[in-house]
Amino acid sequence: IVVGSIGGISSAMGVFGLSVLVVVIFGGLDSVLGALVGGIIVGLVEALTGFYLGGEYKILATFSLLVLILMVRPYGLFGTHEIERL
Amino acid sequence: MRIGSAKQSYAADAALFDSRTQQAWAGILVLALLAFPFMASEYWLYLACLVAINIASTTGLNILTGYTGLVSLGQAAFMGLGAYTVAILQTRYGSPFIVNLLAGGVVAMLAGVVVGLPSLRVKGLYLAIATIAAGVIAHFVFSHFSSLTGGNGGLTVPPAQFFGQDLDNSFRLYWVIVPVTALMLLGNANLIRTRIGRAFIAIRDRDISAEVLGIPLLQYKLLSFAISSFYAGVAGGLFAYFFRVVTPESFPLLMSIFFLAAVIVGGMGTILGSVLGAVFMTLVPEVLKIVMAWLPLGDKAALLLSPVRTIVFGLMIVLFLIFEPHGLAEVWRRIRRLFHLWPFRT
Repeated sequence: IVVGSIGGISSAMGVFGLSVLVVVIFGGLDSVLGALVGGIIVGLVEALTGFYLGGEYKILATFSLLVLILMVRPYGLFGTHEIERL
Repeated sequence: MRIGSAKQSYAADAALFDSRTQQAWAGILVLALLAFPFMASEYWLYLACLVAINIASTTGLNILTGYTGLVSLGQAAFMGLGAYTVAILQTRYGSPFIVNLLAGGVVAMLAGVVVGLPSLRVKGLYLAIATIAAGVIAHFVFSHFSSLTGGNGGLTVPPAQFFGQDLDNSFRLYWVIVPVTALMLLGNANLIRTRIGRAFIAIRDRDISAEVLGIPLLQYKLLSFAISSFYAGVAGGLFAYFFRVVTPESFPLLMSIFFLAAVIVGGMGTILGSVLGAVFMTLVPEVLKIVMAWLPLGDKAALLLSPVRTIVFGLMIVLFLIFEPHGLAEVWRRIRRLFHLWPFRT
């Protein structure tokens, strides 16, 4: 709703959902606090890259952050580490 | 009904088509493929070429997802890399198309190895998301590296040349695309029967146990990504020669989902599955078009029903996962079993 009031509702709004996926993975799939913190951090990163590097680099920065977090902490900042049992 | 087979040499035992019936059917298939372009109209030739390109890419994805169990949504990105490599080489150097296709495959293979690196840390859903990231980054590279890739406008590819003749209609391209696809399918069939193929299957079943058994996960997972993206790169090169235009928008995420759907619908982990899945997914929109033209709905309804294609994709994946998780290949096998074992029940 909030995004719709800023950008206008259209069927292309689904692309925004892709950034949301990054936020959730960043924060951890099963923690609300992670989603909050992740949302703030990812939003800040995206806005700052938009400002300093130019608008096209925003989504690149978001997804590079995603790849980084998947390499370093695959379950997210606050997610629970899933122990794999044989 | 085949009960047993007595082979008299190692070569006969290891052959791909080892019984007379199989060889006969394979021969009939080859004859049918050879005769098809002389008898079909331009529209069906176009569809046949498109189906062959999709089969090539689906086979690659099947190696990655069906045999190794690493779900990947980046197939379109690798196809894009292959297509752009072919386009750049053809426009700048005019090298022979075989060289271009191989170069496209190699470039996509290198990218695939890089994208595959997270697979050593993450599994399942997280890997799929990492591959989506690869797709987004590839799209970004295509649209912003304008000096090389022509930016958002893309590149127009001059037709492939074969001894001075332009391969610019579907009839001529058929003779390039179908043998390349057939070669790739044969390669896949042989790969599965070697140590590498069995290692892939072991990784899919339980990768920790595979490592305990002595299969080095790093090398085999990266090898799986490499092979699958080589297939995608070659398929992307064929795509570039077929459509003659490559833009950053030609390889969206929806195309990756198309290939994943083809793998799931066809049957994960079988060669017949890749073929059936690609054929099914490519022909469903065409069949829907024919059906909608036949129904007396008027043309307002046709416009409203155009997002039906996207709905059908998602619905196909969901329905097949619920009712037939082994895909169309399993349906085919069940029908065969019915005929083999008649009058006994399956």
